[in-house]
Amino acid sequence: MVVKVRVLESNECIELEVKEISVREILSKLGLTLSEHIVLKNGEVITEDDVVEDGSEIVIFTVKSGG
Amino acid sequence: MANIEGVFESCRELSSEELERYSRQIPVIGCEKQLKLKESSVLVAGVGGLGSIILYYLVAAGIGRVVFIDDGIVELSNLQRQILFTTEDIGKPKVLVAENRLKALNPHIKLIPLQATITEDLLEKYIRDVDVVVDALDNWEARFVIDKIAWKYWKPIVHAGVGEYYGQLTVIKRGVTPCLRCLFRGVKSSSRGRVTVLATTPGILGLLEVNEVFKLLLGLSEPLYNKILVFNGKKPSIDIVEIKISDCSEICEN
Repeated sequence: MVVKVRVLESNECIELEVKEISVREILSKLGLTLSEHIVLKNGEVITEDDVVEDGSEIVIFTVKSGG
Repeated sequence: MANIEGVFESCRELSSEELERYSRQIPVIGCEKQLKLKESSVLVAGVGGLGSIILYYLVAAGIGRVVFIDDGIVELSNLQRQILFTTEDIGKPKVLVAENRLKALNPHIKLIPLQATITEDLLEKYIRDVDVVVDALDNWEARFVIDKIAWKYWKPIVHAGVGEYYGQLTVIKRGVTPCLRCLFRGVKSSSRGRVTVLATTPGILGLLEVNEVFKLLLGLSEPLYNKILVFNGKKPSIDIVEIKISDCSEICEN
């Protein structure tokens, strides 16, 4: 089983072959920071310490601050 | 043509000058909705890249009362994207320059420029009298202040943020969506840096914000509730992501 990760900014789709993985680890693998991204698991907003199980679909997008 | 004339005949509350000014819009939205715009009040927080485009279109389209807040002065580095200002305006308070330009565009609009920083006390005075709050700010600290006060008075917020080629947009409404503080709770509120952005990015996101204001005021269709529009100007692409948040009450009610 895999965790499917879609990064909207780069339009990358990545499959991570893991049983479970934390949001922090996913972001770290992709070189992204939580303070600048929103992470959704099956549509639900999750945070750094949340753990993602296999079979989950993750969407990550950048949050911009400027006006 | 007969239908169009019929529409105009029912617009007795608008002057002949207003009828001509909005003559390309009234046949689309109808007279009642044009009057609805005239009776509406919108607060725009921030008069920068987003705020410039938002104010131009709100005022051009006939929003009756527009409150806008910014404590900044016009700088040379603003002019690449902040289209309300010209080279001659450098050094002048943004809101005062904006007021003159907007008054020249549409003298029917009641403009309330506030040269001030965003504080709870200031917003307490103004948010309760508006129909919609538009977030055109450049930092999360101030965004979370407008979120708090708008939540208190049940006022919808149209939010956008931009950077480089990218931007996001959503609409917050108490009772329908989570608050901004909960939705973006991972974001560090103190993060405020020099914005680097392609000139068109705030223009596009600003217009999409205005479109959401019209949807809210006129009930055209469901606003972007519980959805985030993610814009990528490099492609270009627009993704609309549905979001679920189970419990935000601890964050939003405090």
